[in-house]
Amino acid sequence: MKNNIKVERAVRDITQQELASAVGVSRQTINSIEAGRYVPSAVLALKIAGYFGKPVESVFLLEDDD
Amino acid sequence: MKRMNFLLPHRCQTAGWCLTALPFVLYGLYLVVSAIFPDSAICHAANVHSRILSMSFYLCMAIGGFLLCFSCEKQEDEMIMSLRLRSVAIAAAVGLVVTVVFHVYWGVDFVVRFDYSPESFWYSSYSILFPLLFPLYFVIFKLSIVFNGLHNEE
Repeated sequence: MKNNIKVERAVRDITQQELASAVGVSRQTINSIEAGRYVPSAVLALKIAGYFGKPVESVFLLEDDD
Repeated sequence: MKRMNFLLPHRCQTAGWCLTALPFVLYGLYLVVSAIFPDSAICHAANVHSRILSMSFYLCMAIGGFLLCFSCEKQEDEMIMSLRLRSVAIAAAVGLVVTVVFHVYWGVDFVVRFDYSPESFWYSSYSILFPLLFPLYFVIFKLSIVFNGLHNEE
């Protein structure tokens, strides 16, 4: 599963730490999600998408092999 | 979403490191003192009470190891929980493989020799292997945290 978190962060000019604090996880978790090393739970995905004010499917996108 | 958290507070990890390191520090001091002053009262006392000392050291390491393994991280989020779960799974798998290897290797030997005495390694292997799974889990867990935090691009 790929995601647009990095793009959304760049648009809002916020750091990984700021996003992490807003959704209540560590910076490493945001970093791992951005890098595709960790797939977040539905709760965390909803929190991240909610923070950006977008539907979850526009921040997190399924790939062909998912 | 509330998660059931059975882990000890993060500050227990500091206590765990101190308790685990204490026996090594004391033993190092003993080696230094015994090398410089072989006939000192400290060396004599250590030799007389060596059993009590070694038991205390093992106890310190066991309690310290317990605190290290079962205390939560500074921010125990869902990724840390998943790394913890994966580390437990890997440690359990390694433990299973090692146990099977021990059983096959030593079991055949003991079946041939008909030696099932409690003193035999066949029985004692259980008590040796099981505690080793905890440090193995801890090392795997800490390594996975380090490797996940390595890529720090912003």
